[in-house]
Amino acid sequence: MTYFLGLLISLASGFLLIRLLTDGRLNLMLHMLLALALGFGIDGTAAFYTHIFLNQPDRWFPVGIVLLGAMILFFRIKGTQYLIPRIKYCVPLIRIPTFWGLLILGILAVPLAISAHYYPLGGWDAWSCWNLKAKFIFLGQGNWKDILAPGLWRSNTHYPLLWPLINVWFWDLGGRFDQAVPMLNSIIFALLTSGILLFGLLELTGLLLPSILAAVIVTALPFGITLYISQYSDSLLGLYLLSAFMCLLLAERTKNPKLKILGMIFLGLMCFVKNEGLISAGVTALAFFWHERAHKKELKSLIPAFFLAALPTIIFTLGFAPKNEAFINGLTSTAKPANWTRLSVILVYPWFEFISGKWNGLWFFVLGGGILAGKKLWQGTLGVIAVSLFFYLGIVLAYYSVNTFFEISWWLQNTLSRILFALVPTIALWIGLGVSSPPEGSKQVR
Amino acid sequence: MLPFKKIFGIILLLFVLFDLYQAYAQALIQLQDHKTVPLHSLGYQFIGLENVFKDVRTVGYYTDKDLDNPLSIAQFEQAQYMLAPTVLDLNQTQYHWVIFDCTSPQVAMAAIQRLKLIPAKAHNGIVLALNPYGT
Repeated sequence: MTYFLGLLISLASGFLLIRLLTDGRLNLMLHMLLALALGFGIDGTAAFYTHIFLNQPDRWFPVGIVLLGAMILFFRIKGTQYLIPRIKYCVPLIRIPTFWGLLILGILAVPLAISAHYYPLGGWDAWSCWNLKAKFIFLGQGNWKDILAPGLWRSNTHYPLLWPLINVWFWDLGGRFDQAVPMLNSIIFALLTSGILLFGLLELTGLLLPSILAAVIVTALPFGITLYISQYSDSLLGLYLLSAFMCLLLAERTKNPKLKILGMIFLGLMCFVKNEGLISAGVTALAFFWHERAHKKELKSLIPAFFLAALPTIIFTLGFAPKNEAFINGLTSTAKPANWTRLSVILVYPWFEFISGKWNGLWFFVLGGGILAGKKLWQGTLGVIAVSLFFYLGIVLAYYSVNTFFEISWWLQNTLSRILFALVPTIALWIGLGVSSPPEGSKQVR
Repeated sequence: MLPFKKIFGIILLLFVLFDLYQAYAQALIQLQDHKTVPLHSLGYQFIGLENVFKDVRTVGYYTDKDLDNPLSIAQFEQAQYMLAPTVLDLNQTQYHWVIFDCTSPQVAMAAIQRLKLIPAKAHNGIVLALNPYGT
């Protein structure tokens, strides 16, 4: 019950912030989905600042910050605008496509819930890394920084803490550690991802069936379900990357530049999800700033929005994160040098990953969709997505090559699929939009 | 291009339906499966020790198991998760409390005697020992 109260508070804080930014000119369904995703980020950020300023957990402080922020937003908006979005942006809620979309989310929720219940502690990295951090932060009281102790290097002590802190925020609200919180959050993140993809594509293209197909393909793949309910931060990374691009695309289509600020906030939050999120957010933000270079006035608000949301990452990285114990610089090491054999494995392995049975042929559809969409994929904001994805993957592969701590085949086998999994929702948006963009002037469903 | 898009769409639809079918089939199997012991249940045998370790920041964790074996590492990391926020220091015995998670209770008792510790509790196949000179 307390968990659902937490969801409501998160939704309210995200809703009001988006309301303020968009002036109520956003489809209400998307508004709510993005609001909950944003609300989770606000929760985690509030929990982070609580621990930084008080140096120990406090049950009411992080919850109070979020509630106070929501109240300030409420009165700020109430004084100047209508609180609920304008009526024409509420209408999609009662349209038939919305009903179908919600039905699909319901259908997807069933296997997710059953699998999550089957693995209540999540996958290996959930209990050895993400949830372990959350437990230390919540139960460790004044010793919460023990999670950064070198002896716990197996838990990737240098990794940022957003998902663990989101769980901590919910435990703060409930007043106790509860294993069900990360499990329920994993289901919500999966459904938010498919919901934002489905309703976002519907808003952008006006086509219901392709939007449904994209959402289902991302969520119903059995391997994807396993990763979603594993309680790994990769799913949160996937959600925020998708949300950021969705906001940037919607800003373009709805001529509402303030949505770009929201996109930057999602990217900033993504930095605190995991180190891969920091790389991906950095690459995406740079690509988008370059894309927007002609709009100097807008850049003046986009850059601060990104850095403000990324502030916890900056504070954590500069002030708290221990050095990565699982790092050997192969370029300088004589004991474990980076060599051609390693590089050739890195260049060959991804192709075997793409045709691996666990993906059920998904990457062939990505290839086919890419061919059908053609040059549309490389233009405008879709071009920014393409550049971001390729640069990000390039940097990740270079890191695999330079860091020679792990045996490369084992490392690729255990991590590459998760890196790709986090990109799948954004790739589905990218390809889906490229393939199903209607010809100029065609009528869109609203 | 349009016929190609239609063919692509139809194949995609079939693929999506197959995914959904597989997702539900997997869920159904999980729903009916009461026998498989998931990997994470390795840590359940440590439940209860957290009451002993209240306010203890670090304890030792001794094992003679092959740590190159993923199951042994999984067991250690599960123990760490179950007992957090107490830190388990792997194969260090200088602490007040040391957990012995060995291949057999006999091996654990032999190690305890060799290290001059005092066995305090046997718990689900693991032995908790007290180091009178421990920190």
